[in-house]
Formats: sequence, structure tokens, C-alpha cells
Amino acid sequence: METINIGYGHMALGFLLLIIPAYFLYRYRTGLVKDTLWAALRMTVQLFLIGFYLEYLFLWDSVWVNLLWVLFMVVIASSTVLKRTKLPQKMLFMAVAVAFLVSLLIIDLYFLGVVVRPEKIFTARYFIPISGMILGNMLSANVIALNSFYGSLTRERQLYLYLLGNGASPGESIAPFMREALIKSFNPTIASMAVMGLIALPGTMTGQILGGSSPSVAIKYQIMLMIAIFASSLISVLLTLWISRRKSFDRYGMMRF
Amino acid sequence: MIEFDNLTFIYDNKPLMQHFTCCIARGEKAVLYGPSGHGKSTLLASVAGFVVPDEGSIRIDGRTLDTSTVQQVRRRTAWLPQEFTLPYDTVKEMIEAPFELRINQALKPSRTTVLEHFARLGLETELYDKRSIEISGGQRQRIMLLIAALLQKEIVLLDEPTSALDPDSIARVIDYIRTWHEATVLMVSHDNRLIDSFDRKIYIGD
Repeated sequence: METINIGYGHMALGFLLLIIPAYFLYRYRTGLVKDTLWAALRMTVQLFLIGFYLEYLFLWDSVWVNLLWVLFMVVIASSTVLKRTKLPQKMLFMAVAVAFLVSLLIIDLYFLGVVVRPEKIFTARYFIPISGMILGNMLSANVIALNSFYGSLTRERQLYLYLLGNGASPGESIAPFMREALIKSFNPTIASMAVMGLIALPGTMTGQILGGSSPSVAIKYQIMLMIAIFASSLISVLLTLWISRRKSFDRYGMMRF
Repeated sequence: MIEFDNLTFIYDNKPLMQHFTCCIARGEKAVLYGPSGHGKSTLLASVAGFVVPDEGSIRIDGRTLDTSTVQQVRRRTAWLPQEFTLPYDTVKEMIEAPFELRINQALKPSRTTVLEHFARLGLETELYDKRSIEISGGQRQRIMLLIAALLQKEIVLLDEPTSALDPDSIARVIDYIRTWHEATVLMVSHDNRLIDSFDRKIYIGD
């Protein structure tokens, strides 16, 4: 079954839908109209460019080019996380990038090598979109976790010092803040996983069905991807917090920023 | 036991405290007093390694406090910051929390022991089962103080532990601290009754 192509003229008609939110954002003087239009424009250009790149990546299908592309995605994701959290980029970039790369590779190797099992693990058709989806979810989980962890450490500095000053090990003294970061970061994912299929049809599944896959295949991918996303996000959050801790605390256990 | 050797603390490019030297013997109860903004709390925090002096050194039992010894020192301290309360829902949870730490687990007190300490500090038994939002600032402060006592540490560092207490409660706290025979206590206070009751008074000011 062929997917119906959307012509450029019809895409333009689709863009007209933006008039409704833009009008109300303007009417209530939110100051978000310009941002909305700029974001829509950026999204369109970026996705067209990605579509163009992906065509070539799929055509070449070279392991090294694919790995390089994923490494590029990791760099962009790490720097985006730090920009969104307003934490010191220079100090923490490597921590986030290493955490992302390690957790992505662990999950990619397991998911592709054990669950999906394509002929070549790093084949562009599977490796790149799956890595992209995993990274996108890691990004939001890490933004929430880092904001919560460093935010609560700053707000509740007295609690941190109290624990340290009463004999807590470095790990024990940050445990309440790690706990809070994990809860804040993973509660939304757990909630959305619990209602998936009931109140929302997830993107991957919808995309696959539109692309001509049978719903039963699409569902299996969606389930496995949700598990992979959850595991990779959790591993990456833990690694980011553990590794960044080494950079952000001095040897007396005091925060450097 | 605690030796402050020629300490200087600089804050905002201005000296907060300069060339401070002092020695506190094992088991001694010492109070730091004097006008605000002269570094009493900073000096107290420096014993736990929370503030590092810009000059000079701190020695505990002859060993210099630095990055290699700070963890060992913190295992021997009880630290109570100014106006601090543990953020737990119930009084029972508040009291139990510090005993969840590996180093303190063996010392976890029974309910009976806690209630004995309650009585000594003039706290009613019913408080033990209350929610922490239901208790007053003074009750909270006494509970935090009894936690510091129950931890049975060699060095007890207290930053204004009686700021919310009435005179009767302060008198009880004075008697209470006097029974900590083994502990070396270093306390910051502005309360004259408390300051007068200490054998060792260290003035921090101009």
C-alpha cells in the first residue's frame, strides 16, 4: 500500500492551520507570535535538510558515516541540554556528551543486535532513526533531571550540608537530590507509557502505519521503542548526574557554581 | 583537639577574619559570640570543611583538615546549621533520617530513648507522632538539638541552636548540653544566658 504524497501546494494549505494559534497568541498579547512563526520556519527548513541528508546517508549506508552522523547528533543534543538548563557549558559538556554516547551505544547495540536484528547493526535505515528517537527523549529527560538536581542542590543547600556534616558519604549526601531528579524526570514518561494506545497513538506507530506497515508490526516496534527509550533515558540521566558531579563539586564536596 | 592556626577568611575581597588562632581541648564546650558579620558562622563551618580558609590551617587531633582528611572529620561531627529543619513529613521521620546514613545506623535510638530526651528538653511525648508542620519553631529547634545529641559524635557544631527558644527552654538546653561529657562542642550564639553558661567563651569581633 503506497503512502499518499503531500504536494507542496497542499502543504501550504496545511500551514494555514497556524493562523488559529497565531491569532489567539496575538490577541492575548503573549509575545509568542514571532517565536511560533520562527520555530515553525526553523522546523520546516531543518526537516527538509535532514530529509535531504538522510536520502544520501541511506544511499551510502557506510558504517563510519552513520557513526559520525550519530556522533554529530550527540554533540548537538549535549549542547542543547546545557543551553536549556543554563548550566556552565564548558565545565559540563564532556560529562553530558559521554553519558549520551555511552547510553545510546549500549541501548542501540542491544535493541538492534538482540531485538530487531537487521543484517548490519549500523545500517542507516535502522541505526539513524532509532538513535535520533532515543536521543530526542534522552534530551528532555536530561534537561528535567539536571534542572531538578542542581536547582534543588542550590535551593536546599542546608540539607546537603547537614547530611555531609553528619557523616554522609558523598553518594549519600546527594541521594535525596538524585531521587527528586529521577522522580521529576521519569514521572511523565511513566504516565504516558501507562496510557499509550488508550488516549494517544504514538508517533512511531502512526508513522509506520502511514508508511504502509501493518499495525501489528508497528505496535511491536512501538512497544520495544518505548522500553528502549525508557531504559536509555534512565541510564543517560544517571550517567550525566554521576559524571557531571565529578566536575561540579570540588574535593571538599562544595558546588563550584 | 581543634586547633585554629592563624586563620584568615576573605569575603568579597575584604577580610572577614584575620590571623585567628585558638585551641579547643577535647571535651571542652566553647561558644563563639560577638557582633554579626565577623565570621563566627564561617569559622564554625570551616571545622566541617564547608569553608576553606584563605590563609592558615585547621588541625583536628593534630591532623590538618584538607581534602584527604575532610571525609574522616565529617564522620566524627554533628552539624546543625542555623534555623535548619529536616524536610520530612513527621517528627518521627525527621528524627530517624540522619540514622539512615551508613555511619550512624548502629546508633539508631529506640522510641523510649528519644522520649527520654524529649522529657529532658521539655517536649511533650505526643509530639513524636505529630506532623512536622504542626510543631512550633522552638519545638523544632529542640528536636534538631536532640538529634545532634543522639548521633553521639565527638565534635558537635551548633549554629545558633536556641534562636527560637524562650528563657525556660534555654535553661533546659544549657543543662542538656552540660551532660554531653565526651563531646567537644563549638557553638555560635547571641544569647547572653547561653554564652554565660559556657566555660569557654571566644569573642569574635573587632
